[in-house]
Amino acid sequence: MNPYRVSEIPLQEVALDDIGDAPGPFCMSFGFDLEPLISSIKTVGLINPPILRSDPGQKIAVVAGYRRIKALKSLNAVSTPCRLIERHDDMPPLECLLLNLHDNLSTRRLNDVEKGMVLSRLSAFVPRQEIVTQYMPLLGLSPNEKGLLFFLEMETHFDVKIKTFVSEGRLSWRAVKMLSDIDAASRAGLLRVISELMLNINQQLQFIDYIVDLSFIEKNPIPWILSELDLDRNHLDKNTNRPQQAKAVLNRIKTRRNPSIVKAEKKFSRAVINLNLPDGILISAPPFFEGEHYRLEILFREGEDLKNRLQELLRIQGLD
Amino acid sequence: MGWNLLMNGLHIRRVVLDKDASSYALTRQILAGLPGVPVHSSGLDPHLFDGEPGKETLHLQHYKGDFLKPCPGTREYICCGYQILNLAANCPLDCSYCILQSYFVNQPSLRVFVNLEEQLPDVLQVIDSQPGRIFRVGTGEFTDSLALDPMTHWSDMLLPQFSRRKNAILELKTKTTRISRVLASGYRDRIILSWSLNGPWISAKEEKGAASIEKRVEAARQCQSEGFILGFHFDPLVPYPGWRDDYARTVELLDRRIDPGRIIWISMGSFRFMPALKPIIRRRHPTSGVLNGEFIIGLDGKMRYFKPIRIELYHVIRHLLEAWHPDLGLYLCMESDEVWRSSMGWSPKTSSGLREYLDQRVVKFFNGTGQPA
Ligand code: SF4
Repeated sequence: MNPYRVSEIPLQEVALDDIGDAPGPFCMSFGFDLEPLISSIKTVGLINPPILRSDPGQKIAVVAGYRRIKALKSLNAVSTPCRLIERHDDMPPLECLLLNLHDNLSTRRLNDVEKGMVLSRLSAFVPRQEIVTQYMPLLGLSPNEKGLLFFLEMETHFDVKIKTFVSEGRLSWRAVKMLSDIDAASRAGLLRVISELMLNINQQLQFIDYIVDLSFIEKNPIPWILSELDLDRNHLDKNTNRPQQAKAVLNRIKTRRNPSIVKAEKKFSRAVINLNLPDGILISAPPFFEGEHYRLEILFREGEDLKNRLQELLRIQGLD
Repeated sequence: MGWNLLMNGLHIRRVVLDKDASSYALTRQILAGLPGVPVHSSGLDPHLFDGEPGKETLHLQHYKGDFLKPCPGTREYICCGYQILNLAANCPLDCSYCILQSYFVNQPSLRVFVNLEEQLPDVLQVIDSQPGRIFRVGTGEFTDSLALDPMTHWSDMLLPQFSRRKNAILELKTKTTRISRVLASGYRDRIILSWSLNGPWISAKEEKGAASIEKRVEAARQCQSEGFILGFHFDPLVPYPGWRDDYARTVELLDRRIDPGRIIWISMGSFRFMPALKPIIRRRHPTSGVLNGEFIIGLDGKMRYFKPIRIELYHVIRHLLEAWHPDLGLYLCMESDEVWRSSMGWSPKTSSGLREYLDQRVVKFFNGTGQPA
């Protein structure tokens, strides 16, 4: 049966209790907010009936409309109008999957976890090479096998917390790329810390880079390094908030990875503190101390104020 | 005898021939030296480059760009003003730190530009048109200068041309001992044979396919005894536990075998790389230690060691070398004025200052007469 003929299947009413709760083999929804849909159904009712599939001896599965079914169930509806694909319709699972895929792609952008769901479901029916060359571009992904493996693994191995983090777009693609180069256990460990500490994009890259480096330098596996660093949030300073904790953790790792650089930074900060600069005067070092010029910033109101500040500066001991 | 043995470890499994490359004499000569090696027309076999950089695939190409180009230095660091003679792209050796791995990601085969002979007059014309300028020309930027010489016979073509020019020198930079053709040539004037050196441990661990430091120094000794002026390049310097002793061992080896008075220059450069190289090294050379140091992003966007580490590297090796001989033409590759002053005790201050210093070394050694001074 061709998907376009689905519209020819007559509408019928199906009891919601007969429909399985699990996402099922055609579902590609993750990390969504049901509220807008619930309020839409409350206001104007169900506009677009879901497509379901019944197989003997099993609960009815959702082909397209998983969120609608969920919304209806949470509204305590008893039944839903739908198109029910039955055995005699002769529609193989791959076609059901593609039907839902195209239904979704025509109405919204899938998040990365959902893309992983699609690829993983497709891999049951479609040769790997075809997934890479045809379906990855369709999902807006660059066609490469390593990327595919990463998505497949994300679908099967990542826990809900990490998936949520990914689905919300809080894991940068550069981080994903870096993670796809390392083994699954290490990846899971790194992702756990990234999501726990809610590292921002730059912090994620830095964190992964440092830990991978440490693993090579110290010749220890990443999970071992992570456990040794004891990055569990429960063991971090309870009096600080999450961004502060993230910063503290990164500083700790950086000190271990780049001791000379951190030492030089500390020495510079101490030297600046010892200058006792007046308020509104800042001295900063060139990035990584690579350039030769330091930067002086002076906050002032007007010319006279500037003159006074410069006089103050001239009186500072220890600048020479 | 198999090709491998004939070519001293050079291992060519297949040749890819561009259509517009087939009529050149160099193509015919190379193919004649590769009996039994399958030749494919380019673009026909998409699986040819499966796997790792195709160092066993020789791609004969007609190069459409300029053969002579200035070394791509950056404004932020002091550059020596070298000119690169572009003969090939990629290298049969496989150093873990090699920047070519990231330059030629999409063209991993060993590419030889077979129209060199046709283009050489243009290169020489550029040199001849500026008689007041000294051209320091090298072929070792995008490949090893001598690794392919047994197959390409580049030295036969280049040595006579450079040897007779009074405003140029040709530096052949290598990590191999493939010196038989240059030794057999009668040309010595204005030809510099250079070896990249390192600590023996780094060399053994990170320079796959290269000759050992001992063999390199021995090849250099042979060339020097046959009348060649030598250069050495301690690049990339890599700090690791025991590096001081290791580099000292290399300098001791030089001391035992080489006459320091006939060395035109010795450069030092610390490991630096574009960030894109890092994942490639991790993937291709998982046991490499070259990424272990403390790197920062330099003013040119490349990763390089934190400044005090670089200064220490140069300072230590400079003292080792100066203790051997006080006038070795030491210079730093792509460093700042500050690093020069702190590690070398002086600075050419600018790229033109360094150019002048090296040009004077050329004048000193070849003295405008074609004879070493
Ligand atoms: S010899 Fe030079 S060009 Fe060849 S692999 Fe080593 S670093 Fe690269």
